[in-house]
Amino acid sequence: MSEPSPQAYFLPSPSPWPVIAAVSVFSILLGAGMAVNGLFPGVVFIILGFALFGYLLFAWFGDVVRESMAGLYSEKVDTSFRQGMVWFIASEVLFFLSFFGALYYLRNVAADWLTGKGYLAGTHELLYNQFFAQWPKTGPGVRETYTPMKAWGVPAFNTIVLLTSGATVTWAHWGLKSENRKLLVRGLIATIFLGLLFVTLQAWEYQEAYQHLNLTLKSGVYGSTFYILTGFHGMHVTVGAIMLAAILGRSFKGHFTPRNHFAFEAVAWYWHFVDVVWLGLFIFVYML
Amino acid sequence: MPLTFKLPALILAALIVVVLGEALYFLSKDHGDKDKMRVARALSLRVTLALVLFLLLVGGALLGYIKPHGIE
Repeated sequence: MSEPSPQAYFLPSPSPWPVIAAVSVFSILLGAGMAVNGLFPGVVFIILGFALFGYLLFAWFGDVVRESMAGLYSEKVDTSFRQGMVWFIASEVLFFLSFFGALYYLRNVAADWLTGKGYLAGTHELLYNQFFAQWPKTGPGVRETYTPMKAWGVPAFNTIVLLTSGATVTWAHWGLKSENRKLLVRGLIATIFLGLLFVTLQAWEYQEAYQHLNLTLKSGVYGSTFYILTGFHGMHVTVGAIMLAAILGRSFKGHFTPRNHFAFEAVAWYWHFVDVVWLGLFIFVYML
Repeated sequence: MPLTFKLPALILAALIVVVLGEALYFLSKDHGDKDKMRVARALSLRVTLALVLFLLLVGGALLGYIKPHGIE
C-alpha cells in the first residue's frame, strides 16, 4: 500500500472496544468489592471481568496492528501516538506520586501532630496522649499487632529481578536497532519471564504477610500504604508484561523495523518506568 | 544516615528520574529514525544508574549506614 501523505489523518471507524473496556473494568471492580465483603458472586464477576478484559486487549491491539500494517498511519498520526504516550505517562506519574505523597504525609506530617508537635498538637493532648511517632506504625486506635515486611529477602531479590529485566529489555532494544531479530526476541522473552517471576514472588510475599506476619489491609496506615503502593505497582508490572507479550508476538512476525517501531519503544519505556517506581518503593516502603 | 552516603544516593535517584524523562522526551521527538539512538542510549544509562544506586543501597546497609525498618 502506498504511504499516506504526511498530513493525512486516519479516522478509525466506530469501535466497540471503549465500551467493552468500561464493562470489563466495572465487572472486575464490582466483583472485588463483593469479594472483600465476603459475597460469593464477587469471584465470578472478577473472573468474567478479567476474561472480557483479556479478550478486549487481544482484539483492540489486533485492530491497531492491522491498521498500522495496512499503512494507514501517517506521520501526523505517529505524532499523536507519541503525544498520547507522554500524557498517559504524565497521568501515571501523578498517580504514583499521590500514593508516595500520602506515605510522606503520614510519616512526616500527621505523625508529628499526633505526637504533639505543630499546630494540631492538641490532638495528642486531647485524644491520643499515648501515641508516639515511629515507623512502621498502624496509627492511633488500631490495636492489632503485626510484623513489618523486611527489605532483605524477597523485596531485595525482586529488585534484582526487575533491574535485570530492565537490562534484558534494553538488550532487546539494541537488537531491534541493529536489525538482530534473534536478540530482540530473546531479550523480550527474558523480560517477560522476569516480569512474571516478579509478580509470582510478590504474590508469595503477600501470602507470607497475611499468614505469618499478620500484615493485612487492616494493619492501619502501614498496611494500607504498603498494599496500595506495592499492589498497584504489581498491577502495572502485570499490564507491562501483557504489553511486552503483544510486542513479542509482533516481533516474531517481523512487524518492527529499525525505522518503524514506536510500539516497541513505548512499551520498553513503560517497563523502565515501572522499574524506577519499584526502586522508589524499595527505598521508601521497604527500607526507610 | 551520614550525608556522605545520603548525598550520592539522592543524586543518583535524581539522575535516574532525569534520564528517564529525557528518554520520554526523545521518544516523543524521534520518529523512529534508524540513526537516532537517543531513546535506547538514555534507557541504557538509566539501567546502569539504577544498578549503581542498588549497589550503593546494599553497601550502605552492609556498612550499617542505613538500617531497614523491617530488620529486628
